[in-house]
Amino acid sequence: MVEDRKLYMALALVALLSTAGLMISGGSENPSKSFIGVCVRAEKSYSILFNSTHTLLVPKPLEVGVVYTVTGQIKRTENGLRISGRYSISPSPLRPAWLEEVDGAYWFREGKYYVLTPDWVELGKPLGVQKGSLVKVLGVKYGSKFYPVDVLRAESPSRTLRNGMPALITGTVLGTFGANNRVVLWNGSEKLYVYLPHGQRLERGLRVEILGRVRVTSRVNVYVDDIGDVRKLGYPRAVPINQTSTGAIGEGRCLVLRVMKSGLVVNCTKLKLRGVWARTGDVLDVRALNTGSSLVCLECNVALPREALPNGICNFHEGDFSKISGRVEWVKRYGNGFGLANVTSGNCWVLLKLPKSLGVEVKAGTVVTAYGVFTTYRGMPAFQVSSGDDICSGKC
Amino acid sequence: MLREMLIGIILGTFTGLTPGIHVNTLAKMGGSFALLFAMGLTHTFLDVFPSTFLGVPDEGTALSILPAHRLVLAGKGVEVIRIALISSFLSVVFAIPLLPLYHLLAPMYSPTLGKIGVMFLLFFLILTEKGNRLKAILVILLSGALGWVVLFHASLKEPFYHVFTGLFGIPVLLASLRSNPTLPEQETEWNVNWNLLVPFSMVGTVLGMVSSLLPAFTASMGATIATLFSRDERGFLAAVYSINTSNFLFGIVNFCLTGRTRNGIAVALNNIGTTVPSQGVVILSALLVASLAVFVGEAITKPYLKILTTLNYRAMNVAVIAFLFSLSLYFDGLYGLWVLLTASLIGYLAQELRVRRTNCMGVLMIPLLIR
Repeated sequence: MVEDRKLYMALALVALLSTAGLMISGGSENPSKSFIGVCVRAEKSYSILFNSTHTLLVPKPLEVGVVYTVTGQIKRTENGLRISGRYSISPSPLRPAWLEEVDGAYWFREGKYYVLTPDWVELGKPLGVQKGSLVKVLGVKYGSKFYPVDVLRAESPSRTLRNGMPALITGTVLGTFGANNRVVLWNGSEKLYVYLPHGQRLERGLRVEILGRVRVTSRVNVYVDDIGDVRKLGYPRAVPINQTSTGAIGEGRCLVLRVMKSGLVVNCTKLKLRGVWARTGDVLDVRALNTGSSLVCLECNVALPREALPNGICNFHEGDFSKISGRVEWVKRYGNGFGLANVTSGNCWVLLKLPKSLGVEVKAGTVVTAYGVFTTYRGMPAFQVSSGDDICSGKC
Repeated sequence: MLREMLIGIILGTFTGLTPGIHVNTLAKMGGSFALLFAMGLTHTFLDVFPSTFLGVPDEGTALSILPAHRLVLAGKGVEVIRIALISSFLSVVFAIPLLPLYHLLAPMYSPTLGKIGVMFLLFFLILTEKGNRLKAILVILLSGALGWVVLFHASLKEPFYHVFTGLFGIPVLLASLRSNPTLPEQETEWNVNWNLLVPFSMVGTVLGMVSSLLPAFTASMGATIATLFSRDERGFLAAVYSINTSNFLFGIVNFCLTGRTRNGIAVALNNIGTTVPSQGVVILSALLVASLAVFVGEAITKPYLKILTTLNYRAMNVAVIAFLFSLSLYFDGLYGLWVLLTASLIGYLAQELRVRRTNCMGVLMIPLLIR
């Protein structure tokens, strides 16, 4: 019985020593190995390191995007490599050769981070540089994302327009196209078609600095992902209206010479004035934006209605705009529909041309007022108007 | 689907009958849901053969070795096989009404609950030990220390193979070599004792369900609880084999419900990203595979026994021991062999100290409590 007990104790001791030996040796046929990898996922209870070919599961939370060196028993399982038993882990200053470089512009939207190359390379974590910056990033691709380890270069956003790339653009809002959130921007040399986020708008004439993605088709489109990427710089200083160039604001007082569907012909500029209602002969105070093809009113008011103009029937100068007023002495209508009316005031008279297209009839003995331009008819002083609205007969 | 299921049954038969080849090994090769599911389920029906006649356990059948071997030496090997086949089949049937409950329980995962369960189990083991409790504690501590080293401080491809074969398989074979060198004639007639099988299968199915819910609570621990319910060898075996099958089946259902991987087949399914079929399809597949696995098991039993009885049992036991050692060497080299020898020593000690072999489950319980 005593011998049995001794035997059992010996067996237990051997088992214990053997177990201790197993622990010390720790599977000497699987010697301690090092694994250098980038943390590509970090959860509360585990992290995943990746070395461009293998993943290693480490049972502790690490920091994504940091290179770590793990030393310990590494087991190969169906789910990748796993650390087994005791191990040590520390951030590594090494930059292994398998790390890749990505060149492009840093971008983010809707909580996701990218480098535009111009392909969209999604990042596993933000870079901490200004949006739109031109960057060169060192990291590793894992799954669908690129996990940055270092930013090798970061430059200010480019002002060059490159298809698919972000650009920082300064310009003046010329107007909208299609919808309120689509604006035409003049950058000093060309028109850019800017798509703002839904529901956003920019006032005409405003100078802005926009960070957006450029897409070149038959024209240059710029897509703004966030209204925070638009900086308002204010309105440009106004210049005399006859000295404006595209994108500039002009101010001045102008007489409306003619009203056309495409805008008003005024005496202060060769461009037509749009965005205001006025009649031929009205004098306007104008503050308008030069859009290249026309002037668009930002603020235009009638300073002097045409009724206040003096009667210029005695001041005949061919080609001059004027208001005439007087009694109709006689009216003559030709077979082709063209008509003439002799308008007399005191000793002055003029022949008022009445083309059929005006659709206006005047009667002898009535008083007429007309707004138009002095001309001649068969060597005689005459006056022509551009529309029927510019002749007032009877109760004027 | 039926074709893949049949292939799965064939592969499961291969892994089930071949000592030391675990179903997870083949599962790594991938395949459809039907194939992998049929392979895994069939394996749980047929792994009774090597564990009963050759003393080669796996994680789910380790505790069945001693009582099964005892029955084999009493000429009741066929009975063990049939108990295993029927109770495995019953566990599939009993699992079906438990599925609604499982739907509610599966998302309530908590490793802490598992640990609490293991702690209670450990206390129960010690308190209910009929022999010397100190000896039981010694075996628990020694196996626990081995488990702690093997699971947390060693890098092994097949750690469970070495520890379970060593703790439960080798000592039985050694004892068999020492005591009864011949395999007695096996009785082929046996009447099913439904009154015994049905309740123990029910208990086993529930325990298998619980062990599939809590990752810290393995099928072996479920079997350990089953030892508390009965001292009857047949009832215990019915419970163990039911736990083995039900643990696998609920593990797959758990994967379908929550995406958690509780067994090697679930891991393989997860890796290949296969589409999970509806629960109805899983149930029907389980019933079909279970029926075919019983049929295969029945068909194999007699030729299997015939081969065994024609062999010199002593020589066969020696060959099996040599084979187990070779497998250990093959899996993990000398270190694996060392683990196997240490585990065998502890298993042998438990046998010699005449304490319950279940105490060797400290190999899993202690590490789980420490971790």
